Amino acid sequence: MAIIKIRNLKKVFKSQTDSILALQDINISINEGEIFGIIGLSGAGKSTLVRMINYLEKPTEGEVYFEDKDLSVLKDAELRNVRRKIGMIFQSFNLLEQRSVMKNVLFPLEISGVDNKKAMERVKELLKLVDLENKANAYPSQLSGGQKQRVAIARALATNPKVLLCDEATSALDPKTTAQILDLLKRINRELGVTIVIITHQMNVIESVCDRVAILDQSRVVEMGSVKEVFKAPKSDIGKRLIFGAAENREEEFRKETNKTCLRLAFDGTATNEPTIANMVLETGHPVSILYANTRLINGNSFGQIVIELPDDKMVQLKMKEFLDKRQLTYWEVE
Amino acid sequence: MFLAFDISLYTIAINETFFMTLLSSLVSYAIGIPLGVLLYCTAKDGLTPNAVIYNAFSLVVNIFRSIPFLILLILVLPLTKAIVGSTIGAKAVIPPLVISASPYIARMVESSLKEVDLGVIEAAKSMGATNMQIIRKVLLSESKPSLLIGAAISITTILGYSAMAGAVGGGGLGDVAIRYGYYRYNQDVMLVTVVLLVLIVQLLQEIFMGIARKSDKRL
Repeated sequence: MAIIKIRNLKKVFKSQTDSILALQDINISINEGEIFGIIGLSGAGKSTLVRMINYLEKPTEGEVYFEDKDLSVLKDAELRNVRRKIGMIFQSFNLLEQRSVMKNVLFPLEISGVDNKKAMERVKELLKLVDLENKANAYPSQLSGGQKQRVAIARALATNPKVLLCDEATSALDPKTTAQILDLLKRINRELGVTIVIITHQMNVIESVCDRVAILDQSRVVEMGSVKEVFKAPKSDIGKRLIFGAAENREEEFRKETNKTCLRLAFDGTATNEPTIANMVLETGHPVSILYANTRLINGNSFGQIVIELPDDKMVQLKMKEFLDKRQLTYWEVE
Repeated sequence: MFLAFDISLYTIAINETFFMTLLSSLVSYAIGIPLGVLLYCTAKDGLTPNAVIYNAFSLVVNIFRSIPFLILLILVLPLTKAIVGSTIGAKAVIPPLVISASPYIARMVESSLKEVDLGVIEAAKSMGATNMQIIRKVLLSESKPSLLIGAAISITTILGYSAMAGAVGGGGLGDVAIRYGYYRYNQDVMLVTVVLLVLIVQLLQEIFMGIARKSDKRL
């Protein structure tokens, strides 16, 4: 069931002199219990989009539904109630600097009028969840980035929200801390059943935790689907750029370098453990050059991409494709 | 010569100076904080932007801030008479001090509130906070150290203004300096009052800065 529905959303920012189109034709349904990623380069409109889910930003056109309630018709007090069911964390953590860790987590309970004794119990629970019980009396300035984000997560979960919005929540963190925060988010998703929406420009964030992804480019959703599908064969230019990454891995770069036929192989973890390329070379008796490779083993399965240059002989090329077909590998010719 | 060391002359004056400074600071803050919050909230990036209200209050604040205190002191004499029943003495200086300091404090408060990170305010909104809750629990509490530093500046400025009260027989150290030091050419009295004023300003400044430092949790 979709917990969040975004319909024909459009956002225009007007200044006195001109207007800027931030988002248009946005249609996204986010299912209850999933981790949904929204990725795009900076300026693509991601942050604006996530702020319309809890109506911090009002759409110019279109509707946002939370649990089938159209947010645009809600009165202020009703909207505040909805916001208590949608937690949010930020790139810059946004903790109250003059309050201790404990008081920060207490804040949302305080403003929603929860009885103090009950609230304190909840705070303890939450600090345990994010493993910061021993920092209860510390102030944000005494914490590391990862710890700050964990406080922010505890705070966002205080009112038992159904959805957690993460706006570039790991962008200010180092890779190791990023992994820890992502693990925590995954755990919150699995154990508490909280639906998570992740906004990021980091592909590895989407790859490691998201179930589905929408790619945003120039104010539109250009691609949407399960992370597996999109990663295997991105269709949009921006998707290819984000997933294949660096310039040396872009299709037009290979075209420039070589006028021979190139294949891009995508490994999605379903291939067997056999050394595919080596066996293909042995079986066909013709060598291939590897122009690019970026694969990694996750739980014994390979994920990633390899670009190979095929020999000129059309017959050999066919044989090689047959070989790959037999193994049900995903590949396509670099155009 | 003898007069310069008459302690009672100064103790009464110091008492009057403290009385004028603290009471007018208190009343000025009672007016200045809400006014500063109003300016902050109605400004362009505020909680409830409203150009009409902002510009109107901003103009009033600027007008009062541009009138020299000595002139204001005389201008509001009828009002002073109506409020405290007299136009001389320490009490009579309080209305003009408040009228002069409140707009100044409002600007100080506004600028302190502007230092609060907009992201924190957004986070509070995302948690379902009302504007009133944001003002009390986010804006005013997060800017407390900055407000205290502002208070140190405002109160010492009010103290400086209160010394001008001597011009209308307002009492306090300024009054002593003018009556004995200036009108009667008693350099020693002048010197002692100036030293006392410097010490009081130092003291107040240090106390408030100390509290501000201690209350700031940002290290």
